[in-house]
Amino acid sequence: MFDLRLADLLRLVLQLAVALGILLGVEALAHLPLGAPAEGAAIRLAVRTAAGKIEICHNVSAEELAQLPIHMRRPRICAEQPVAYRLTLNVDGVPVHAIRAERRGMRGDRPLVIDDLVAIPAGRRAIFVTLEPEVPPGTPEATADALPRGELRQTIDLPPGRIALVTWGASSGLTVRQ
Amino acid sequence: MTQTESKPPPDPLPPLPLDWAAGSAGPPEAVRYLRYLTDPVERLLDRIYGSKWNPFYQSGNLAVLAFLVSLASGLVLFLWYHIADPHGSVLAIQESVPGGAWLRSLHRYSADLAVVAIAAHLVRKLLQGHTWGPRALAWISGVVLLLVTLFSGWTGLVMVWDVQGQEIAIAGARLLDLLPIFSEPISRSFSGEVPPASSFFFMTLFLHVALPLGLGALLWLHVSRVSRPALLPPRPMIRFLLAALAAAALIAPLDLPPAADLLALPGIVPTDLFFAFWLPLSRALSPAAQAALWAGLIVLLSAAPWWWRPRRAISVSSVDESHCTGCTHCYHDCPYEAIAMVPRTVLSQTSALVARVDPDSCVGCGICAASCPPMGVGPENRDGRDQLAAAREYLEKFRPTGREVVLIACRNGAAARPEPLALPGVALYPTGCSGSLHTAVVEFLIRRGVGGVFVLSCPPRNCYFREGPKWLEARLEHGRDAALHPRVDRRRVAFASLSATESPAIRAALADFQKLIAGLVPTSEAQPDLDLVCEPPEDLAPAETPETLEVAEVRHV
Repeated sequence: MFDLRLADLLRLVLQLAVALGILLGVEALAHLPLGAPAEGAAIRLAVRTAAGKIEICHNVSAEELAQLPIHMRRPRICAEQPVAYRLTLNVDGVPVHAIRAERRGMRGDRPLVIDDLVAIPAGRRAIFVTLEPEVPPGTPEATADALPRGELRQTIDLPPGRIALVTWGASSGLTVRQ
Repeated sequence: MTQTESKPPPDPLPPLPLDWAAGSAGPPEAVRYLRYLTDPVERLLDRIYGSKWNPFYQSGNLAVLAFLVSLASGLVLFLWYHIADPHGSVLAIQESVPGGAWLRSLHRYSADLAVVAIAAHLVRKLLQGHTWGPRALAWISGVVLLLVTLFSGWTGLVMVWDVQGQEIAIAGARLLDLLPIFSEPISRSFSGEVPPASSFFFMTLFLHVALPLGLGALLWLHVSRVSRPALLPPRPMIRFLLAALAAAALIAPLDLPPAADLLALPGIVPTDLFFAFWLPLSRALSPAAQAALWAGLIVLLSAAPWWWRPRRAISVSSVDESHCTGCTHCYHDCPYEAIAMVPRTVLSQTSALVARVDPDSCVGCGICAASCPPMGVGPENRDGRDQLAAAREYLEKFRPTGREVVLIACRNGAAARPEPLALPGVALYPTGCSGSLHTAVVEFLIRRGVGGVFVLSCPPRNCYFREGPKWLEARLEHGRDAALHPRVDRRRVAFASLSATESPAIRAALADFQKLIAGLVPTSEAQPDLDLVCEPPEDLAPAETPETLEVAEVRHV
C-alpha cells in the first residue's frame, strides 16, 4: 500500500516537474536575447515636404477659348506638376547614399516622403547632405528658384548603436539631431 | 474442461480478411513522415501523464484555458496601463503594484502557452487529417484564430513600448507600407522626429482588448459543426495547469527590457519567440520578401483542405428508413450534428419521424451505426449488418478454440501500429472508429466460440473522430443503446482506452485478460448461431447461468 502511494506521489512530482519545466522553457523562449550589439551607427534621412510642385501656366488663344464651354473660358490656364527631388549623403567626403523621390499618391499630389536608414561607421563623421529639386526643362527661372532646396554640412559624433536624424523643415531647412 | 495456464497459447489467429472499415477515410500518407517527429514526444508525454492526461491530446482545450487566463490577467493589468506613458506605466506595474510583476508574467506566459497549444493542436489535426470536407470550416476558422491570436499578441508586445515593442512596431509598419493605400508611410511615425502619438497607443490598446474579445465569436464558428464541444480540459487538469502557471510566474518573473529609443539601432533584443518569431527574419529580409513569406504561409495553411486530404473519398452514412424506428439514438450520438429527425415521407406505423443524414456534414465515422439497435443507419458497407457479415466471414477462416482473444482496435489508434500487439493467441481485429463498433459484433464473436473480446479504444480525448470511446464504453458497460446484450458473458469482454504509444500497457492488459480467459470454460460450440439481424431470437440460451451473468461486468482496464 505504502509503495503504491509513494509511486503515485513520485509520479505526481514528476508530472509537476515536467509541467514546470515546460513552462520555464516557455519562459526562457519568451525573452530570448537575439541579435548582436550594434557596432556601427546610422543616419536616418527623414524628409517630408508638400512643397515639391510647380505650376505650368500658359495663355489661351482666342481659338482655343472658343472651343471651350462658356463656363470654362479663362485666358490663363495653370496645371500643377509634381517635382521630383534628389537627396544625397556624403560622409567624410565619400558619397554613401543618393535617392530620387517623387510625391506620393496616384496623381502625385501627396507629400514627398523620404525615410531611409543609412548605416555608417560609428565615430566622428563629417556629413554633407543635399536636397535638390529636379526642375523640369522649360520651367521659368523664377519658378525654379522658388522651389525649396537645402544643404547641410556638419560634423557629428555618433557612438555605436546611435542614429543621427536628418530632417527637413520649410523654415529651418535640413537639420540633424542625435 | 478447465484450461490450465501451463498449456502453450494457441497460434496467432489469421488477420482480418475483410476489413469492414475499408471505406473509412484515414489521414493522408504524409502523416507517416510527420509522425517521425511527433511520436517520440507523444510517447514521452504518454509515459509521464498517461494517455488520459496527455496534454498533446488536449491541446485545443489547453489553448482555450491559457487564453482565458491571459484574458483575465490582462483585464486586471489594463487598470494600471496608461497610453500617455506606456513603458513607464508597465514599469510601475512591475515595481509598485503588489503582485504586478507576477501578474504580468502570468499574462505573458499564459499567452505564450496559448500559442504553443494552438501549434500543437494544429499539428495534431494535421496528423488526424482533420482539414477537409465537413471539417474545412473548423480548419480555416482555426487558421484565422491563430492569426488573430498572433496579431493580438503583437499589439500586446508593442504596448509595452520597450526595445522589442519598438522593433515589432517598425517591422509591422514597414509591412503595412507595402499596401498602396496610405498617403504617407506609416513607418515614418517611428522615425524619431517626434515620439509616437498617444493615439497610436490608444489604437494598439483598443486592438489588444477588442481582438481577444472577438476571438470568442471565431471560437464559436470553429466548433459550430460539432456536437457537445468540449472547450476546456477536465477540472483536475485546469487546476494543475493554473498551479503550474502561477508557480512558473513566481519562480521566473518576466523582466522589463529597456524603453524604446527610436534613435538607437536594434542591438540585443529580448525576443518573445512565440509571437515575435519572425523578428530575426525582419532584420535580414526586405519587407516585400517578408510579406511574400507570410502570404505563402497563410495560403499554404488555409489551402490545407485541398492539399492535405486522403486520396479516396469517404463513404457517408445513410438511413434505411424501413429499419428506422425513429428512436433518435443516432441523432443524439452523432458527434457532428449530421443527423436530423424529419417527418417520414412514406407513412409508417413505426414512427412519425425518421433519421436523415446530411452528407455535407457527415465525416463517415460510423458512430451512428453502433447507436442503432435495428441496424438501420451507417456508412456504406459499415452498418451493423455489414459488421456482422464481416465478423461471420472472419470466423469462417478458422475454428475458435474458446481460448483465443480477439483484440478489436481502432485502425486510427492502436491498430495503426499492429506490431507491438502481435501476441500469441491474440488476433487483431482492426476497426474504424471503435465507437462505430456495433455491440452485436462482440456478442456474435463470443457466441461463436471466441474465448474473449478485448475492445481497445483510443483515449477519450484522442478519438480520431469524436466521442467514439465515450459511446463505446456507454454501450458496453452502461446500457446505452445499442447496448451489449445482458446474455453476453461479461467476463469474456474487456474494454480499455489506451493510446497507440502505450503498447506496454496494452500488452499487460491483454496478458491479464488472456489469463482470465484461460481459466474459463471454452465457449466454442456451446451456443447456437446468431442470425445476422439486430435482435437475435429470444430463445438463444446464454452460455453461463443467468446468475453468473448478472454479477459479472465488463472488465474495464
